Amino acid sequence: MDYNDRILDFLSGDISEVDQKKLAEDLNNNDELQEDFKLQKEILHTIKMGDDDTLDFRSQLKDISGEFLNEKNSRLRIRPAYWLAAASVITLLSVSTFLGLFRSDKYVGDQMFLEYYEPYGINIQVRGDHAEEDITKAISLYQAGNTEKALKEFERLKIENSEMSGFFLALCEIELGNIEEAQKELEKIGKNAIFYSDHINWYLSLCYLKQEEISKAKALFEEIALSNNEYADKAARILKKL
Amino acid sequence: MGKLRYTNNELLEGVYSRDSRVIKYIMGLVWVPVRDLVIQNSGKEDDAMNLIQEGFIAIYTKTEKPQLTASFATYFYAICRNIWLNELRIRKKESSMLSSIESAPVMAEEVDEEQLYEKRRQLYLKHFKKITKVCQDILKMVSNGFSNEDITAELAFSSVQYMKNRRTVCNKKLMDMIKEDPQYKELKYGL
Repeated sequence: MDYNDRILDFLSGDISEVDQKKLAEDLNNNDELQEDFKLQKEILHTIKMGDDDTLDFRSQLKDISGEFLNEKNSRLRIRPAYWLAAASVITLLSVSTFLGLFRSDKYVGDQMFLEYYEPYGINIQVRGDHAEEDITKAISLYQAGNTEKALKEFERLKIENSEMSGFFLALCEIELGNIEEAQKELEKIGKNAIFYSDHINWYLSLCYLKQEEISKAKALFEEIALSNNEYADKAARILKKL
Repeated sequence: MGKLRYTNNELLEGVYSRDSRVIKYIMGLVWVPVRDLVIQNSGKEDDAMNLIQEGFIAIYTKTEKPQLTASFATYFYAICRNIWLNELRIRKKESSMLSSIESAPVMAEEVDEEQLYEKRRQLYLKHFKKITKVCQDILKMVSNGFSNEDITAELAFSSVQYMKNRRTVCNKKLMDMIKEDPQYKELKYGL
């Protein structure tokens, strides 16, 4: 096998350990081979990066990515002092991160989700006392994307605060793509919900949408649309599309 | 169902026409799953955004428009997944390789020789455009880290060995053309 082939195999990640070791030894002892290696790598890098038009597109993508991340981060900025505000922000984060998107070809429903998952400033009135610290910890886990651990925490905390922990538990299930479990949890806590009822209804209706339970989704969206709460307009818009 | 914001075809066309609004919309669609894919597989958030950008480039530079059999988002995610798996495979090999080489290859940008590299880049592309389309396709896939098996399947070669033979010929042709170019001798000192 000639060296260029071996270099290509290496750069493709398709080289055996024996050949790789031999190539490394030869590279250390052969300047010409080193130059070929660098040249080959640079050529492939150039091909990968593309021509001037592609480079221009790369630059454009970089700008758009920057804007996208800035917008995303500004949406997620936590309001100081109020852990409840943090909770609401995380709620919004979870809403915008529907992992079930790629679990089926139901793109229509998924796209509707994403279109309507826009963060808002939610003022949730919940009383928190000794459980506050644990809840904050669970929220932090959730915020860090450690959803499975957060889910366990919320399961534990549900004994003390069924409504709030149950609500976040459902959001964790959504994050994990377990829409059916999320739906069951929201249905359960929704019956006696006081503080989170608007949010629970909103996410529950979206779960119905996701699960293609359109008649249930419609009924709940109609209720939300008549409620004059912060989701009313969005619910009305969704209803027009259903 | 009512009208969606974008159809699959509109999303695809948006990439080809480099429509910033559509591109940002797609980023919103794929950000979380791609980010999770990367973070759960040895990467970081920065890698995720770079991967998404590579996904756009992969679509944009395709010579033939894809016929979507699933949603655009699913298609885009699959592309990112392939790129990331290849990247991981190469990173694994490369880290062990580079640790065993005394002077690791350094890209020109990193040694502040951008101008020289820019000239070499133009030289490489000039010759790359001269080789056959199939050679371009093979080397493009190699450059993106695709395995020999993936390249064989994607370009419908009869066997991996046959593809590797073609790859050897294509690569040698390109390397020879570059090395024989009088400009190369003037520019190679940046290497």
